[in-house]
Amino acid sequence: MIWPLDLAWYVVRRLVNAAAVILLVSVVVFVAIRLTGDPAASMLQGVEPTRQAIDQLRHALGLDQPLWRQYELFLAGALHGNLGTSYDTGQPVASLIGSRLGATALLAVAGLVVGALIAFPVGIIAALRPNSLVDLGARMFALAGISFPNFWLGIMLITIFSVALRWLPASGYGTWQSLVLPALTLGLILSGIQSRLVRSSMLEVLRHDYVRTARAKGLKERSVIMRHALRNALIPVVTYMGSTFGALLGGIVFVEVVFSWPGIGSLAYQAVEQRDFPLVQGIVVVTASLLVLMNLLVDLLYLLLDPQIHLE
Amino acid sequence: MIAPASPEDTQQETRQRKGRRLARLFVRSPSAVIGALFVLLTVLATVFGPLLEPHAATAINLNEALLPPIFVHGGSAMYPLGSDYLGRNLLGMIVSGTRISVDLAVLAVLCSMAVGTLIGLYSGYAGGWLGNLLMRLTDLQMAFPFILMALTLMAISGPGLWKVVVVLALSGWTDYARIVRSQTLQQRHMLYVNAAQASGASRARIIFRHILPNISDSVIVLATMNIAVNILLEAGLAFLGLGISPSTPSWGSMVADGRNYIETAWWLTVFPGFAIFFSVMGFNLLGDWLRDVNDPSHGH
Repeated sequence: MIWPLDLAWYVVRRLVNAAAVILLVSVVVFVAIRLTGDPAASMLQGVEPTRQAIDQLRHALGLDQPLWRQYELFLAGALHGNLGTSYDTGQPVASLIGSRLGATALLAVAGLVVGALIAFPVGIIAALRPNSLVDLGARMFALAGISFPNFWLGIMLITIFSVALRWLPASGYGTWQSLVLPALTLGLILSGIQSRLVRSSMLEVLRHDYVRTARAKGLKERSVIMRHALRNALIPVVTYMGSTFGALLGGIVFVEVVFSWPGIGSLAYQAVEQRDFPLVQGIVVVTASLLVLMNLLVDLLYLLLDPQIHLE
Repeated sequence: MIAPASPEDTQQETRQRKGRRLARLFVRSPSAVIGALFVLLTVLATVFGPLLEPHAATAINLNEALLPPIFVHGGSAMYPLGSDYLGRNLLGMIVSGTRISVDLAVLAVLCSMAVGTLIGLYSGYAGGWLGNLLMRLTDLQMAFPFILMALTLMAISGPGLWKVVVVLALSGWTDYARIVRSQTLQQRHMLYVNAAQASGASRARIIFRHILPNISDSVIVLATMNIAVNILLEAGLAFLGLGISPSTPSWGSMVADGRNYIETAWWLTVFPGFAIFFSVMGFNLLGDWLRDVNDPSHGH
């Protein structure tokens, strides 16, 4: 049993840790951007800039200040929700990111749901007959899932369902039809890893005594699997979800670019192409924060799901 | 008279026995054989691709532009997989793209393997504040939006072979560090390590001559799977126009170019994508099998 005070202390410790990670990420991206080239010079590319023009622009953007001072200004702003202004559009970075978060969240949830809808049946069937042909098939499915280039899978789905069959749009946002192909691409990519997680945690659970007891009571196999085994198998699946967030994010960036989905991923790609450094910096810091917070939430969810867990 | 077996002899014998066991398990596993076949094809294309009429393979010929593959009406035997908008031979382009993908993936694996393994060995055996700090860095990677960082680095620093290698290696080294560290921690208190310590072996000797050979199997498994990950990541960067150079056709940039012809010339996206898929699948199948062989409890 976890005491409320212990839990509070645990959450505080994790939050401090999370803040440190986010701070470190912001330093890394900040330094990396400034060490690898002069933003002012690359912004003036193509117009054969004079030294004077570059210096003026550097001054206007605050790039002539010492590095630590620039970071200090960035950090002070960030703490007040001000992530700077986009070089490209002149809009505040924070509101640009805010306007795209909803689309990315929708895509992420839809992709995770599609992935789970594929992964649970595949993983459960594989676990019920370990080392059978079905299991081998499930294993090949999972390996194929991690072997597909996600951008290519998206293009193949477009080729089939948009170009050849003309059933679904290849891009767009706002209708359910436009969500189907991006969510399917993301779901197929994720279902590979997810189905392995479901399989291994089901295998683990099926060995336990309570499953044998449930069977011995004469319960239907279906009820044993769905009501007794699956519920307990969910716990490890949830914990490992944290380790798939990286894959999720990578998938989202490519899926958004391929389907012109108006989310954070396509915004990041545009920002990188335009060398819009404040925007790039803001996106990296915000995404890192979200990743850290989601990992924290997953760990807390784990505590709620399994009361036997002790805080380290 | 029979000479007593020297330690080298017995070592060689166990190695031989291990080799035979692997070979026996290998031929019994269809997925390992298929995986090895894909990998072999990839390696052959890498090694012999450049020798096969290096210029003719990707020569421009506008009269023969956008020809379909041989099995489609209008296809030509000269262009088994069809031709692109400049009349270049798609098969030739895919074969020459193999070299780029594999070279980059393998170079990056060597870099991240060396760095990650050294860090893992050090922090596992010596520990201390430095070891802890290094492992904290690997924790950081978990929260790092790596793909965004890769895009940023490539966009700022511009195209280049070694830049791609560095970006790929940065993404991979933490896995080696984590696994090598946990294995080193297990090995550190084994009898053979105690014996080596008692006989006065130096720290470096214990780490590299005694511990490293005992954990090399897991490093090899990881490296095999890591090649697959790197091929995918390189293709992704090239797809976004952030690869080694826009003028060198790699699998990822071929898919990106083919996108413009998706309505008229499907083969331009389909075949380069299959090249990526089959080579990645090959390394994944092989790595998956190696992992099973090394750890029979896994997956059963």
